[in-house]
Amino acid sequence: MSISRIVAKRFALPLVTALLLLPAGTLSAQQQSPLSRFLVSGYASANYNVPAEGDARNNFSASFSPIFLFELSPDFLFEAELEFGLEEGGTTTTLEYAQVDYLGFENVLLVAGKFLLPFGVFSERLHPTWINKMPSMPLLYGHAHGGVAEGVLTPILSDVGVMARYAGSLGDVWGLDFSFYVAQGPSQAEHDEDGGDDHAHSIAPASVAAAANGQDITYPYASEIPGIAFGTNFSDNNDNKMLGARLGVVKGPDFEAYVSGFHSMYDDEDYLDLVGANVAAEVRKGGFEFRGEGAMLWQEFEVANEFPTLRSPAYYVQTSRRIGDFEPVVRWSHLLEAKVEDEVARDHRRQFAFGINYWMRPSVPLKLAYEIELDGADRFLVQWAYGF
Amino acid sequence: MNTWNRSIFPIAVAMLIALPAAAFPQQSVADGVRLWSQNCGRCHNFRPAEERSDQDWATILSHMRVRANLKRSDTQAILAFLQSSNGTGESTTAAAPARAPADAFRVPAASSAPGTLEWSVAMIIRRALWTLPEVP
Repeated sequence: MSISRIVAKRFALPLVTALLLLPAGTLSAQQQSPLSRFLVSGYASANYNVPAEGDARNNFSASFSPIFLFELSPDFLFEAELEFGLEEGGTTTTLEYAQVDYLGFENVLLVAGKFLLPFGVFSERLHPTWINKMPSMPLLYGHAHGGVAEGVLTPILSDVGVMARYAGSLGDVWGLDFSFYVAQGPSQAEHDEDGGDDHAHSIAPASVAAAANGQDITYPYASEIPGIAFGTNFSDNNDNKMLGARLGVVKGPDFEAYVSGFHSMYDDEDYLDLVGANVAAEVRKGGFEFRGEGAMLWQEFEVANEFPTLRSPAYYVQTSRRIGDFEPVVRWSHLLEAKVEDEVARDHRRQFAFGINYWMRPSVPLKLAYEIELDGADRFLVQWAYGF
Repeated sequence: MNTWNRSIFPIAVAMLIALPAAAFPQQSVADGVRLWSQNCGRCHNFRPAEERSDQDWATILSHMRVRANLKRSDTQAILAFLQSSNGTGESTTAAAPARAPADAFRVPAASSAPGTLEWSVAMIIRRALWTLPEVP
């Protein structure tokens, strides 16, 4: 046998085999390339809002929220979400979050930057238009973009700071979900002449909300209660930092429950407390999905050399059931009276909403809903959302 | 070592080098199916695996790990499942699966909870559907 035949017999087969398998072998190396891990995701919506009564006009609106994901390595992710919305006078832009995540641990995540606060569940996980099953937000939450919701108890909360998350198991069935964060914290909102606020992530002052509803207020100093701005405090207005946490238990896809809370001083002098508490739960049974969330804010303020506390509770419950490509949804939201001791500083607001979604694709719902405002004007909403 | 052994050894080494990227451990994919059904549908509809490439799913799963607060091993198992089911053929040894039917990614009926016989049968049917060749 010649030398060339021996070489061919002994080495050619392994060589060809190795070359054939090389593309698969190098794929993992390609996936490690930093430049290959940039991705734009996000969601958008087009909305149509028809007031059923009153002088308000019907109107179209739109929102666009691209999410930029840049994976520096399998252990590091930078992610940011911009929100573009249409409001009176032009286009609004908000940086909802911009955060660096460290993913190198099995059970622990580290996050730094501007991130969505884990206060309840809706604010952090359910508010994107293609995920939210209604075209509007429950009265608990407000959001300036999307054109169909107003700020009520809290905005969609995001702030600048650091966060640690722990995911663990409780036996074979239950999971544990814990988050702890330190952030700049809210500040006192300066509202304009119209009594409104100039930022998407602010709570309207209690007196303004009361005046808008035209209802009787028994607390004499309601107009003295300041509004609160979240996520706008990029140079902190005080030395105090916001501390918050959320603890949750999860059982497969059928049940999850969370308790969360935060504390912060919101005035420039580090004197006025703001405390938030939230309880959220979700159950899936018999094809139905039930969601609910309740929250309370305790806001200290100064009036006549005293420091009373405004208590603002709210909750919502929602149920839906998927029937083929359609999904009927019913939601009840209740912003309860905000009180200072026993005096009413802001009257309640109740809303019953029902609607139906048509899922064109798993991330493309066409939503129709009717909101019955028991203490205000009803409206009809149409939203075409798109998750991409 | 005879000639055959000297030939087969480099083949085995080459396969071992390439195998991790060419195939997913079946246990990981099986865990991924279970974890995917338990976690992803809690907030939103199940997105079709075919929507994304292997690389896209890797980045998205990192994002979703933070949003849903998942364990690293759980995230990797879900990723293995999605990459093995997206039909791109980038990382699977099996023949490239056909387009996943849209119905396959609907939220599973609540009555078919993971672990039950009904759920297992549904999952097997779904996997079978994904690997059926498309009718020309």
